[in-house]
Amino acid sequence: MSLLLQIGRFSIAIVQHLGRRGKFLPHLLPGVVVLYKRPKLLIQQLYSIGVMTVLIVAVAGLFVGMMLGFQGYYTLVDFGAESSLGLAVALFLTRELGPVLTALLFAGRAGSAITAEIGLMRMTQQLDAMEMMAVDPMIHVVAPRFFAAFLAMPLLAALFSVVGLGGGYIVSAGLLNVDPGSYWAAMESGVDVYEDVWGGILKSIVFGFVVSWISVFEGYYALPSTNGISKATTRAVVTASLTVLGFDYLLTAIMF
Amino acid sequence: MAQYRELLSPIVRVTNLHFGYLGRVVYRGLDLHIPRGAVTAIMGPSGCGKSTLLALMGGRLLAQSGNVYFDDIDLATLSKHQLYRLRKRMGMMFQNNALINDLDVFENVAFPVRENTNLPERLIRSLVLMKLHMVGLRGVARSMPEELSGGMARRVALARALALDPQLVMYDEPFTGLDPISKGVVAKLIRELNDALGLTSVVVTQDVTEGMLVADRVVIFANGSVVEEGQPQKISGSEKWQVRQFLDGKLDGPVEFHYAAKDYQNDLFGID
Repeated sequence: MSLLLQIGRFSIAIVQHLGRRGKFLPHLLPGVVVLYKRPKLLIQQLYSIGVMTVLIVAVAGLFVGMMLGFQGYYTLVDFGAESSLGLAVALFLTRELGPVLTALLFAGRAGSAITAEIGLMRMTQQLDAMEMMAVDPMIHVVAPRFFAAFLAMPLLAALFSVVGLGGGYIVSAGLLNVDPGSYWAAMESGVDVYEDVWGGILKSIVFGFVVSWISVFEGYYALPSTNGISKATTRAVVTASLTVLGFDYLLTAIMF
Repeated sequence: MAQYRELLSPIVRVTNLHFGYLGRVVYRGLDLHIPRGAVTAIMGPSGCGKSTLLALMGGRLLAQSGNVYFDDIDLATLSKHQLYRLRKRMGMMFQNNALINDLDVFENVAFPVRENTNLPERLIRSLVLMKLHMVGLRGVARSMPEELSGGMARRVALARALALDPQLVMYDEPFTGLDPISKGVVAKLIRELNDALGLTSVVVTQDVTEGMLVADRVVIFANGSVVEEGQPQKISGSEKWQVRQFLDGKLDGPVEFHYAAKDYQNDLFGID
């Protein structure tokens, strides 16, 4: 009985949480005025959220591309199809690994920082002080972070894929002696711009929305204590990561 | 002056206010008014709802029943936009100062002005320097909040609360955590700025000495309602037991030393 009770409570808590997240959106989206009213705030956040994440995304993209080069080669060589290595690396990166891994890295690096920062502003009453100064924190604090994260994600995913292609090329042409020309030629002939490249970009736009939404929500409603912020940050990263993987499955099933 | 103030309508009126959260009742039918032009000190033991009252007066919380009026406007009837417009006539100094971490002292004071007006930069600069000069901190205009002492940060918060020249300034525990010199400075500033700028001030404090010193009128809270109000001399001479326990710092009284709990012996032996 107590197990049933716990399951019931857990389910109700999840539905309530989802409902609160849904109700948060209509407050959040009008903050789009910040894009033209306070572009400086958006640019500051684009720098701290986007630019500061470039290095981790580029390094991760390089290693993942190199790994794909090896794995793809050892799989394809058995069939004598190593000339298609460029195509395999490109499809993996643009369709899946670029958007998904970037979103997971982004949730860990920038999403957690957004949640902790907004949560700390709540704890130290900076958000309350803004409200009392007739400044809406939703527009001044939350919206710039949300839209900066939303805009940065597709660009970072594109960077991940491009650097990954370079990593794959270094391994295949430099270490495995695959013909460099066939690496690029297979990619050129096999990758469809609309289905593969735009499909990947669409995924990264959806993931960017989900990760930034969850991060700002968890920060805004974090309990104003050290424990509250710690839990909110963990919840933001875990929930955002799982939601990204769930959406990836759904989008893949629909799109490809 | 005092008689003249009485003729004016109060700037804040609280009528039959009921409020509670997390299963705890904070106010049961609270009635209160804040007279214009005066410094009103609201005192009472921890947890009696003093800071909650400031949140209700600023419209950050809404009454569950009853009304809170600012300048005869019922806060519960206002839209978000109207409430924000009304808040330009209020200033608030928070207990932990709530300075914005990534802005320096100058920008913290300039923040409400920049966000709510279209004044030219030269005018904003003069205005901010004047506010900082009032609190004696023009010299630290370019320091960051973390470089300030507790007393200095409190004074910057005061300058920021006054940046929009509000009619009402609310102070949440302005003397907490300050050394005696800083306390004296903050008390002097609250008193002098109130009179010089023609403000109305509400000071929520547990500091009996400073509260009595700075206020024209003192309100003592206990158990969700007002137990005594009047001039500081009247409060000092009050014989009401709730007032005496608070003013004299007695261990036991209406506010019991032991919070409500089950039987001690049963608790120790784990008997429900």
